[in-house]
Parts: sequence; C-alpha cells; structure tokens
Amino acid sequence: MRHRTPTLGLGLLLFASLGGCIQWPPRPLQVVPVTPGGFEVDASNPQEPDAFPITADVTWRNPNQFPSVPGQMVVGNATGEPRTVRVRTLRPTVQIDCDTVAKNPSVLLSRALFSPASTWLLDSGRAIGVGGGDGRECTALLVDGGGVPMHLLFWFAQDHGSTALPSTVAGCPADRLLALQPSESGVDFAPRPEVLPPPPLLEPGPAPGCGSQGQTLAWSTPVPLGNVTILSLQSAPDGCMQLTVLGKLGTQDWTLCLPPGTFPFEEGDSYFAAPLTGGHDLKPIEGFELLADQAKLRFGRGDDVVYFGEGTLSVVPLPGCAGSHDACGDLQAPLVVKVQRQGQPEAALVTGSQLDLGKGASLRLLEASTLPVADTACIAGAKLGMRHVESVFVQTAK
Amino acid sequence: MISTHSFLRHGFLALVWTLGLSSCAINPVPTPFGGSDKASEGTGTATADASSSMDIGAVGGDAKTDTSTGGTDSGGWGDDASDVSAPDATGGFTGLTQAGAQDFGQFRQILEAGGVPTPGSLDDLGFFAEHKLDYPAPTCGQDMCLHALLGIMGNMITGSTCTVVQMGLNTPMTVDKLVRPPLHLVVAVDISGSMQGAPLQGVQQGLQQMLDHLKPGDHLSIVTFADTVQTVVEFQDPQGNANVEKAILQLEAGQQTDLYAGLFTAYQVAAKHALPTQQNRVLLVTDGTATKGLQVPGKLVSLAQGWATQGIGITTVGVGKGVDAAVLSQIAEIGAGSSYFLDKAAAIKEVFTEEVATFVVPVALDVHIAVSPGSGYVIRGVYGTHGWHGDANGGSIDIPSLYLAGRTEAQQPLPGTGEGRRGGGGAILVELIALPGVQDKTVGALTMAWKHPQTGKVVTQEVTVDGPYLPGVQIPDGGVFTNPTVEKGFVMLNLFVGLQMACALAGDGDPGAARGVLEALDLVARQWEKGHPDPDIDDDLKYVEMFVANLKKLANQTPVGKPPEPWPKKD
Repeated sequence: MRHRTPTLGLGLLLFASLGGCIQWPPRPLQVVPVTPGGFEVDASNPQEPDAFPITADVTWRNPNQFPSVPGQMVVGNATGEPRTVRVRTLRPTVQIDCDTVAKNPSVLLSRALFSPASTWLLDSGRAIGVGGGDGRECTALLVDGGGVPMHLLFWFAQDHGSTALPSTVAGCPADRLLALQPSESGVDFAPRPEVLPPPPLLEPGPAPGCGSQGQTLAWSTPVPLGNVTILSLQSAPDGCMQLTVLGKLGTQDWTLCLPPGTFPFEEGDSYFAAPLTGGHDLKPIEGFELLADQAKLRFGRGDDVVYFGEGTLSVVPLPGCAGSHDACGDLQAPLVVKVQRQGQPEAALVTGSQLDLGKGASLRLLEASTLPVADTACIAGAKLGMRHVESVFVQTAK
Repeated sequence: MISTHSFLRHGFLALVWTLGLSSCAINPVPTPFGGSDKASEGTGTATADASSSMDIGAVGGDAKTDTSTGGTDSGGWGDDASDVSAPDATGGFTGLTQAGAQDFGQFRQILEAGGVPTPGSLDDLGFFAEHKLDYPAPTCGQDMCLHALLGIMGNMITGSTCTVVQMGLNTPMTVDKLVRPPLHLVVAVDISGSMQGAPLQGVQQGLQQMLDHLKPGDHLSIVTFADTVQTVVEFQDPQGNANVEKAILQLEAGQQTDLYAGLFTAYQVAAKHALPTQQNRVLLVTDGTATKGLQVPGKLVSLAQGWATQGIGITTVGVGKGVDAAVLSQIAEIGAGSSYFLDKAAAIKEVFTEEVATFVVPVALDVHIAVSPGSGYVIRGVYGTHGWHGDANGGSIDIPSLYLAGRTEAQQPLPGTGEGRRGGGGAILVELIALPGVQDKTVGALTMAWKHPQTGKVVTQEVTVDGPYLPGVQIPDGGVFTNPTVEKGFVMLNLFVGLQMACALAGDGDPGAARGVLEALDLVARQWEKGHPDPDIDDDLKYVEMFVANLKKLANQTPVGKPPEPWPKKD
C-alpha cells in the first residue's frame, strides 16, 4: 500500500454549489492511486469523499471563499477546462546540493531521482499548493498531465517560503503562481524562471575528456598485516586476486581487487603490510600499504590520494565536466587530481588515468568524483558532497 | 511448490535494426539503400554481401520462457524453455538473442488475475523474445552477421513520426546440425550451515541424477564453499566413477558463506581445463549472500563478466528467500545462462539434469556494437538490450558472449514448441528523432566487432544506413519499411512502449491517462493487424484489451484524454 504524503497541501473537497451557496469549501480532488496488482490504497488521507459532482466554473467566485493550501507556490489551471496534473517529488532518500544543482537543474537532475506522481484533478480556475513541508533548501518537481508536457519546476525555499496560498488562480499572487494556460502546442506553463525543461530521457554519458568509469578497489577482511609471505596467488580477468598468505596469524586466504597488472608481487614474495588512514593531505582514507625491498604498493579510498612523494597535490572539480548520473540518478561530478613536483610540469589525473612518476613508480586514479546529488538508499554510505577518491601507488625496483 | 524464474539462456543476439527506407507504401521486398556492409576478419577483408538477401529465412528458435515467478507453481522444469528449436519448415537461419530477459510471464499473470502491473514487471528483452522475427540470410561470410533494417511511420500512440532502426544478428549455423560438444561443468555449491538438511540433500540427489545424463567425454568438477573453499572433484570423467559418487555423498555443511571465493575458485577450475572445443560452464548453487570474505556484489558481476568474455558461461540457482536475486540474475545474464529461483529445496535436484539437457555452443565473444546516428537524427530510446551505454548522440552495446543452444535428445520436444508464443525473436531497436533542415540522408552507422571463440580472431563488420528522404520530410501514409520484419518490429516496439507508459501512468494514480494510451494504441494496432495477421501481435493485443478492462474496474477514475508523446521531440 502506498501513501501519498500531504506535501502538496490539503486536498480540498470539490462540491458543486447548491443554488449558488457553497456548502463546504471545495478542493481539487487528489486521486488515490492503486498499488500494483490491482489492490486499492486504503483511503486513509484526510480528505472527505467528494459528495457532489464538479460543475461550477469558479472564476466568478470570491477567491476567499475557497480555503487556502499550504505550499511555496501553486500550480493553477488557467486553461478553461478541467486538467489532470501529475506531480513528482524527489524521493525522500535523495539529497541535493542546491547551489550546485541550481546552475543547470535540467542537466544535473535525473528523472530517476523522482517518486511516482501524485495525480490531481484540477477544475478550471483551481490550484494546488506545491513545495515545502520536507525541510529542503530547494524544491524540485517533475510535472506533467493531461495535455501538459513534462516540465521540471525548481526554486529555492528562501525565494518562496512556505505559506498559506489561495487554491484559485484568480486569488493567487502573481509571484507564486505557476499557471497552466493555452499555448500554440496545446497547453503549457506560462513562462517563469521556475519552469524548466525536464531532464533528458536518455542520460548522457561522461563528456569527452571528463574521465571514464574506472574500476573500483575491493578487499576482503581481515587484511593480513605485518610480515606476510605469499603462498599462492590466482588472478581473474577483472583484476581480482585470491591470495593464500602466511602471516602472524598463520595461513590466511585474502581477496584483493586492483586494476589488472597492478599487483607487483608474486608467489613466494614477502612484504610488510600496514593500514593507511590518511592520504597526501592527511585527509581520511581507508587503505593499506604493502612494502618490500623490491616493490611498494599503496591503495586506498576516501577523501584523499595515496601519494606521499614530493610536491604538492590538489583535488579540484574538473572544469567543464558537470558529471554523469548512475542508474539511481546520483550525480558523480568528476574531480581532477593535480600533482606539482619541482622541475616538472603540473600533471593532471582524471578517473581512469595514470601518472608515471619515474624511478619505477606510478600513481593510478581509479575514481575521483564528488556527489552533489546522492540517493543515500542507492550508494551505501553516500554523503552529499562527499569526495570519493580511489587511488593506487606502485613502485618497483625493476 | 516450485517457483522458478528462468532467463533465456545463452546470448542469442538478434540485433534488429529496422531501417525503413522505402519510397512509399510498404515494400515487402527489401531494397538496399545506399550504405555499405563490410565484414572483415583480423587484418584481412572478407567481402560481405552488401545487399541484404531478399530471402528472409525463418529463424530457428522458439524460445519460451517459464511463466512462473515469485511463488507460483511453474508446473515443472520442462516449462523452462529458453532453448532453440530446429528451424521451421521454411528453412532458414538461426537468430541470436541476448540472455537476461525477464520473464514476460509475470506481467501476463498480473493482468490475468485482474491486476494492474507495475513498470518493473515489464522488460523489453522479455517482451521482444515472445515475438518471432526473421532476418535476411546471413551471407556476410562469417559465423555471425549483422543486419540493419529501417522503419519510418507515425507512432501508434500519438501519430508523431517515429524512426526505428532495428538490428538483427543471425548465424548460418543451424541448431539441428549442431554436434553437442563435450561439457565441463563446474558445480559451485554453497555448503554453509543454512544448506544443511533438505537443501544439501537436494544437491546430492541432483548431482547423482545428473551423472546419468552426462555423455562420454563430459567432465565434472565440484567446488564447495562455506567458511573455506574446497575443490572436491576436479575435471573427472563421471562415468562409473566411484570417487565422484563418493565425493557427492560426503558433502557436509559448514558454517559461514564465502560466496565470492567459491565462485572465484570455480571459475579458476573451469579456466584451468577450458578448451575451445568443449562447453565450459559454471553452475552456482546458493541459498544466501556472502557472510565471509569479499562481500561486494559488484565484484561477483565483474568476475562473471571477465570470464564470459573468455567463453566460460554460468547458470545461477538461488534457493529460498535469502538470496540476492538481482545479483544472481545479473550474473546469469552476463554469463549467458539461466537463473533459477527455488522456493523449495527439493526442486534443486531437477536443475542439474535440466542444465545438462541443454548444450551450448559459443558463437561470438566480447561483442561490441558502436552506434552512431547521422547528423540529422538524435537517439531517443534504445530497447531490447541491457548492454547499452550512450546518449542521444550515440553509444555502444556490449555483450560478453553469444551462444547457440540445442537439446541433447532430438526427439524430446522443446518446451513451448507448438503452444503459446513462438518466440525466437529478440531485437534491439533504436528510436530516433529527425532534426528537420539537415541536408544529410544518413540515418546511422553501425560498427560491430567480436572475437571468434575458437580462433580468437577479431571479426568486424560495418553497416551504414541511409534514408530515402531528408530528416523530417513528410513520409507517405503507411510508412516506409525495409522489410516485413522491421514492420513487425515497429509494431512490437509501439506495443511495448504503450504498455510501459500505461503501467507508469497507472502507478501515478492516473488510470484514465493509462487508458488513453492503450485505447489509442489498440485502435491503430488492430487496424494494422487486419492487413497483417500475426499471432504474436494478436496475443499482445489481447493483453492490451485485458489491461484496459482492468483499468476500468479501478475506483478513482481520471479523465481519459489524449496520450502523452512516447518520444517527445524535445526533452
């Protein structure tokens, strides 16, 4: 059973007037959807059943006769005919960085971020309140309906604070009204800054030069630490390895996934393993280093890079790259890692790229992005604006 | 009660690009429209037949999916029919369909029960696989040929012009002439604590039963996983092998579940003994998720993907409700295998026999198809594949492996043959929007590359599709189609999208809008069908009618109006 949260304002019962007298404030009818499988939602919303058919054109009525609705703005039907309006809000688990998204909401938001619609029957001249009630800094809605093409509505709460608004077109202040009106193509929203094209049907992939989707690090726990000898090593095509090692806890099986060809050790090699908790700028990471005379391996993920060599390092947004959405709609905005060593030109690493540091050393960047739009139900541990960097440093004596 | 959900096994890829480039009225005899069709292998060039054969061979292969899901009694393992039958009487060539199609049966069941399906219950691969689609003769000179077909007509929902490119892949190999290669089956069995009792007994009984169905030359390996991983049988000839039988009887439950290590080891065993002349397959049986070792589901998927490109397939069996069904399904899809979900442990034993009753022969590995629309078109949708990566300006389709499947007993009727849908379809359709004013008739270009499973050579083929008109120019009534296959594919796509839109609108609480879509679609599709009788489309329309009837029964009706554009000109 699905419930419609009353974020779109109170439903108003619609009653036809009897002899010109309104018996009860009419309200637009919110349609209670059926659940999949044909079972109807228990009508537990606060609306009373609509006892009278909708017949009256309310434009001549005193707007104050109609009860107000809470919201930040209203979507009003000024088309002269009844309309169904479908309104989709962001899923409750979705977080968005409003300042970032505001730069281009139609591109930076994805249709996958929105819940199924609430459907409203709007008589001509009537309006529904939208926005507010969820504590968000900004409001984003996908709206379409009978004859109404899909649009994205977006605004900041500070520009349109929540208040009680009229449920009629006639009574609504102009700065709060998103009016549906006749247009050349049939019906459309009156132009307003809050009315935008919807996100595309087909999500664009990363733009050229913005980095490709890299492989990710993975390892099983517990990680064998201290002095370790590799007894056996098996590899898979995706770069994952099964190792049997002899360490201070005896023989242990361990799985490690790195980009293919990165692991610098072989069966019979020994190394010293220790955890890494901070990267180049001492920002927190989760990782490990495996050190031996013949090779060094460091790998980690978090807010920093596993590079401890000379020079400075900075992690900044990749210019010209807004990011791309995953299947849940999360926006992964790429970052670039800039490495400046003395006497060397500045090197820039994006996701999937590698930097030759000389003397048998290389730094590989598997992932470098930030999440200005995150669905916390989709990416475990996702945090809005979280910087996500995965990197591998390898140095061999050969 | 046995509950199974099985995918089409092995990747039959039928890329159906329907490029409708005919001047007026429907042209039943495809005419090549400019463009070129070149296939090359390695560094040499093999001349391909640039003019698509006008003899559209029938596609061998009736694939019927098991209609039971989620607790419903399937009626037995024999219903799990994702295999290819012998070609029909018209002769012809074998179509290739992708693995991983969601069973259309669930969607049907909901409607038949009077319900309203959710969008998640309808899958394009599964829907397309229910339709028989025949492609031109595979005369490119290789084991797999790509065809591109074009269709342009007003869509059947709102009437706006719809340009569809349908890709078709087929092979000159025929199933009835296939010789069953020897099989090396690696069974990776979960023997964690929860498998103790009936589940493990089912595995033991199943393995024992399966031994009778293996052929001379077949080999069996068994890898068990719980707290640790053990290879208890490695590449043994099971015929009268007391050691194999003893190992099966001695299976004992452990504690935790190191699922990743178990699968990893099973693949290592398969790879160690892999031969291009034999079937190399893993069968994973588990009742839960990983509780030890690497516990990253994405790495199970990448593991399967990596080995699939090297010709090692996988079938997954999930027992009970504790499994990660999505991951098991995804792995099976990538590994061109079936995915079973069993409510009852007793059903396990039948899976093993079913698995060896069907044999697979790899046709192509690491298939990559680059798709580039012409300058006068943008892509609005891609249907019939889970391997698309791209956007409105182009992209690619990647499929790890494609196989042909056959049955070991020639006399044994294939499940689904002669009843219900004929299937054998499978199509990838690309919906394009024309950009008026562009002086370029090119609709698109395809470049396919794949690795031959036996020789390892990379084979490439390029196909360019030119339209008869400039983009956006008014097309004749009745549309333009390269051949009847693309016309049927066009109708099939419209039916799928209409059903999908209706599910979404009903879920939005707007049954009137859902009815608006379906009633508009029904009217136009029935008019089309009068002139083109087709049992698959006829069946589809029954479900459209059923859907409308179910929508009418809902309370809280909304006005039935003009349907929204399925493919808006602008986003």
